[in-house]
Amino acid sequence: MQVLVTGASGFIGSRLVHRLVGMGVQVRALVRRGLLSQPPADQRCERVRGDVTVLDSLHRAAQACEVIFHCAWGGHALTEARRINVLGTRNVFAAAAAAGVRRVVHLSSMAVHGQRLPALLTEEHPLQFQGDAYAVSKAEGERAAIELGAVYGVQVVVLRPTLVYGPQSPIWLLGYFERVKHEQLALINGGKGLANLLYIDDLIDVMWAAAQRSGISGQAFLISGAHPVTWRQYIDHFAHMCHKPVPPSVPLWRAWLEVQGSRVYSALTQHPKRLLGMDLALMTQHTTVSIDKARQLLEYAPHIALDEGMRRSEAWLRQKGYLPSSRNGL
Amino acid sequence: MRPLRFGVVGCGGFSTIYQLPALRRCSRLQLAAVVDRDRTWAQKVARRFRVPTSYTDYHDLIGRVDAALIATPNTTHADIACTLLQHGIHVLCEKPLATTRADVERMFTMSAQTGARLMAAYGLRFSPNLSMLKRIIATQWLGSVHELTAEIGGRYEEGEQRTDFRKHRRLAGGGVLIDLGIHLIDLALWLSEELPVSVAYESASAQGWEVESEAEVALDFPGGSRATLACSFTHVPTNAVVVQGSAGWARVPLYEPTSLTLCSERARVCQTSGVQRLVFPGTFTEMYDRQIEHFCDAVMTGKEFIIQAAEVGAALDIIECCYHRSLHT
Repeated sequence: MQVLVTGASGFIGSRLVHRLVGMGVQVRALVRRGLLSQPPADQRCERVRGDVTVLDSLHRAAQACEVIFHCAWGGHALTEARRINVLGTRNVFAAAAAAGVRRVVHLSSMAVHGQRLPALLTEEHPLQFQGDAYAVSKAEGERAAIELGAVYGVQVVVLRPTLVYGPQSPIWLLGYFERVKHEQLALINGGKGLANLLYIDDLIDVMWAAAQRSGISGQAFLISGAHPVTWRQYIDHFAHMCHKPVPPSVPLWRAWLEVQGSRVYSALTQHPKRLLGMDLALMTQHTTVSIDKARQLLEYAPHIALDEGMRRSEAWLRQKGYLPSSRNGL
Repeated sequence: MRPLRFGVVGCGGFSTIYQLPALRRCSRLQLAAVVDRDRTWAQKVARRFRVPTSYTDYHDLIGRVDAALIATPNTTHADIACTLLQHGIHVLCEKPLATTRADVERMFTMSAQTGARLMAAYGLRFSPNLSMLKRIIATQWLGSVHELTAEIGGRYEEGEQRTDFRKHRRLAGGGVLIDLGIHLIDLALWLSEELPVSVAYESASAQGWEVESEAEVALDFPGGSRATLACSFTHVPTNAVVVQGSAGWARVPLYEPTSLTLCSERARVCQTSGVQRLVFPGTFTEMYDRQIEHFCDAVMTGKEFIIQAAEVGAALDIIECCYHRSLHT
């Protein structure tokens, strides 16, 4: 089978390419740059230059592909995020239709549901089209994917992953690791909020299933780990890895004030800011993401729990020098 | 010593945002005149930076200033610089110094003949984190360096330029490679202290661009190390330089000149606690201050510039090699 992966140099895309190649799938990886830097380690991976925002570049890339895994995303400001996440998705579908691609696996995000979530989040919960640039553009992109799939007659399966961590994860591994290491993090309300974490390889497994299974076109699936953990449990792993104290906890009102006045707070205390808007939104959630639909229709069975996922992540951090190579070093 | 009387030719986005404020802060010079083809704009800029005079023709600087900064569209640099140098005016010229190797030669020959000094303004060379990186490599903290990757760029439309000359071959003399990529080529040559034995090049042009809007260059050095440089006017890359060595790696963000991430098995601090992110004092605009300071100092004392003619020529050689080859493929 020939597949195309967009966003192939990103965290999820690169891992997907690696795994697919390992499974013997013919992979074409869409990259904007880096063609000269890394000669393809395996002949089964063909790297092509392209950009989801440029339709012409996708036509050639989509040729003879049966499935497209659309992982590319980007943009901070709303206009830019829309250009990449919405227009980019439209282009992917146009190219898919032109090339006769059977199915597009569209990587969406749990963020499309917004920040006010019920205790049990299912796919039925409406998409939110207001909020931060990422969430809004991902929601619009997902809507475009479903619509265009129907218009063009291309099968589409939408996956909405939660917080994806594992080796190379820029935010949920490296981001929080660095913040704990540099003691630039606080927990809110004792870190009792729930983190719906998902280990990268569990996501890759389900992406593959989404490409294969029949009778699921037009469906969206929330994808998370087997069960959520508390933020305290999650952050504890980092503290343990780098022999740092567990970050202090602040009550919600204080966290809110610190985030709102982070500039003033940093100026007055001479401390770098230890809470970001993102923390405020996430650490206060008490939502469990339901993966029942994925379990049923995709036979999804997450098998990497937090301990194991963090063990693998720690090994990678040590291998890359983020942590000293042996524990005795610290 | 009396301060240098300084003129600025070209009052586009770069001059007004970075160079003019830096020139104003420097105590070793006195801003005497600004030149821009647009008279009203020139007057406006002169008022804003409290410069006594403004002209629309750079020839008016002759006899009135000791030194000048040239920040006009790329293909115009060589003629303007040669005229000014011919009249004994020291020139600090924005990169690319010129768009052909022959022009670079012409400019340095003129400088040698008249004794007026000429320096290419590679602001990044004065960036604190890149200076630190250079020292880290020299101390062998990274072991032997085998790979350098660097990316620079941003969405051109979102920049703060006054004109879109960079899209047009006649004025820009090339695309993103000669405009931004030249920084990376210069850094790669400066950090590796070698000339490459082979050059690979790839490029793409977005709609509306007469020249390449994205480019990638790979340089292979005699010692076996490789530099991969990517530049873009159409998307935002990492804007960072990463150096990989046998004993560790270092990462330098280009637009955060006071920060550097180091991972070295030879540095004690990394042995005990892994990757270190160093943040040293300073601000983003400091590199421009340091550049102007260095230029004035070298001009006044006769010291050598840290950016040398041979290095400027070598970077242009590589660019010509890329463009020449692309014409034939």
